[in-house]
Amino acid sequence: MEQKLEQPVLGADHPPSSAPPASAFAAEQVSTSAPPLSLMRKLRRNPLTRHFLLNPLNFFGLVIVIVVLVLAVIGPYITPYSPTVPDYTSMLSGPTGAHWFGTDFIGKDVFSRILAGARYSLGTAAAVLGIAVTLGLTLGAISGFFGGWVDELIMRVTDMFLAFPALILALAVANTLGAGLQSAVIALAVGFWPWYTRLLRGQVLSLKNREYVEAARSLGVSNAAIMWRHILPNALSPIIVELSMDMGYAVLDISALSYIGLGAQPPSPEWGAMIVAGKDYLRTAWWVCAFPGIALSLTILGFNVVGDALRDVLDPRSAAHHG
Amino acid sequence: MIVQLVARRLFFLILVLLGLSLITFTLSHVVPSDPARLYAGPRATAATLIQIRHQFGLDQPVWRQYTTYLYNLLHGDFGYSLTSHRPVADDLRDYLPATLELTITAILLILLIGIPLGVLSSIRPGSILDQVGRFVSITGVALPAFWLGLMAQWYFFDNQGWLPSGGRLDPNVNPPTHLTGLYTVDSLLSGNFHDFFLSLDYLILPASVLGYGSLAVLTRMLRSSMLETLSQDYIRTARAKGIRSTRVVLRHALRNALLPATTVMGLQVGTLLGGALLVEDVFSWPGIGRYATNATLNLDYNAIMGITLVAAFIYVLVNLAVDILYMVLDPRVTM
Repeated sequence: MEQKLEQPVLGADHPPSSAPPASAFAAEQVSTSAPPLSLMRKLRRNPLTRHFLLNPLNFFGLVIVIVVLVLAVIGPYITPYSPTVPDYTSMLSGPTGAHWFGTDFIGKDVFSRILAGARYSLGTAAAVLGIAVTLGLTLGAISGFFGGWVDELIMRVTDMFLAFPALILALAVANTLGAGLQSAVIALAVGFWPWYTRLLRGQVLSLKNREYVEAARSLGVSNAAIMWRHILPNALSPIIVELSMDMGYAVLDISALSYIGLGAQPPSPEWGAMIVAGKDYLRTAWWVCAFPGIALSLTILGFNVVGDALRDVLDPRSAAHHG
Repeated sequence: MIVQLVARRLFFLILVLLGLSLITFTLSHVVPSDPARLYAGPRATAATLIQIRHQFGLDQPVWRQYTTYLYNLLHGDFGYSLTSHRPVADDLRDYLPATLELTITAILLILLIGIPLGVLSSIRPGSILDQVGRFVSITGVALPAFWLGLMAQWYFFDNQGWLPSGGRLDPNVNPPTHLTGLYTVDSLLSGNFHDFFLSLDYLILPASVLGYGSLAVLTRMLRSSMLETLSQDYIRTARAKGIRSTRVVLRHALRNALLPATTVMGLQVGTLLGGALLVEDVFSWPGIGRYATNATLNLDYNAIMGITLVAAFIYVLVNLAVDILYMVLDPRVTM
């Protein structure tokens, strides 16, 4: 699929006859009025538009991510019904024109709750990654920059955390902190930070001996400034890719903790908690579980696909390894 | 060389277990909960509480409690579960086989489906099978296991009535004679085919749900490593020599492409163990996962520490086995 798209980007002198059938629009442009580059060609030239607008799956992922991000901001204000007020006149109603996704066991509109719940899932996932990134990057920077025993110590601790299934670790932490979204956030951050430490450490190691860093150092720039102004900006690409991927995984893990009973608690419209609340009515009212799960899956899918595509754009060499 | 690797890894394993026990121990002692109260129940008198605290050494300083815990651990003693009122080691022994049966079945399914799917989709990119593979690898990452489980349960049990909704066996059927604790293996060993197929009925849905995510990872991984291998010179040489295509694919390409897939599957064991927590809950599967969620919700910290340590132990050990296998499969590899 990628290859097909890349072929015609060879150059302006490329004979129009060899343009692939997929770009009938471009071929027509070239053969009739020609000179200014057609829109399709322009889109293909820019890696960002090529990967996000011309690849259907990636485009789909991008749309999902944008929709979910927008919902996280305005979700609660655009719900057709109240996401929290029960309506005992329409309990467990199936999907209808009035209630697109049906209602739950006390008549709350599932569609409204999904709209309102986006901010819980995304908000908590963002909090998890915020903590993980801050901690992980700080340690990674220290580890890579100073080396020696500090590096050794940090890396061994990192290994220890990595050697362990994240969900079980999160469970162990979450239970000791008690149920609730806050402890779920901390518990998950514990599992996510080591990846960022490893990532940044590797980047720092490969960047810290570059000429421009030497130059900055010889000009008397402080360590912190070298790290912050000269190394970090150049190490950002893989971190952004990792972040986008992890956003999906964090959303997934938060909902999993909620499912176990350690994250958001049922009346809250968090998607995982909605699924738990619906599971006792599965037999008669599948929609109470089904729709929050679909929202959840689409969100995870979106961030994953976008992360993959970002890697193709920002970091083409490592993309080759991921196939 | 293998001996060295094993020695180094076992040393690392000890460090990991020590570190983890320290983390969970510390965490469970900063929580404002009273284990003695939990053990004795809400109506216990102050005197009973004091007696229980003394019995479990809870009146000792924390560091002392930790060293005692470690000392007991060396003797296979995980302490008492505060909720089941039994030694944690006994609980683990009872619950572990169910989880092992579930996880092993999931791994078998993953290999049985993932390897052919990965290989076939790499031979014919763009074919229907390749599309199926793509679908699996995209949805596999995105579908939460617990939700997939609920949906599968709804469809196969509530809606179609094809498969049981949960549990390991019909409650009216006696479990097969205890030999390994794996119902399928035990019933086969005792020649009871009826029970074998019955327990398979109960096993198939949870195992499929548990394995789906890892199936996606394996398929995707194998497809790309097959594509890479198939473009190597030695494959062209093999083809040029006139070796049959299936033989080239299976003997020359697959063998090499399986190497990275082995590592990935080793790491997936962690994912499967984590997933078992959720899937067991959905399907009322009486394994470690359900035990863990119960222990967690009740702050039964002896049980939690026991589960955490056992899970880490299995995980690190499996990955050690994978690395050894890797060296056996590929003599070029040194670690």
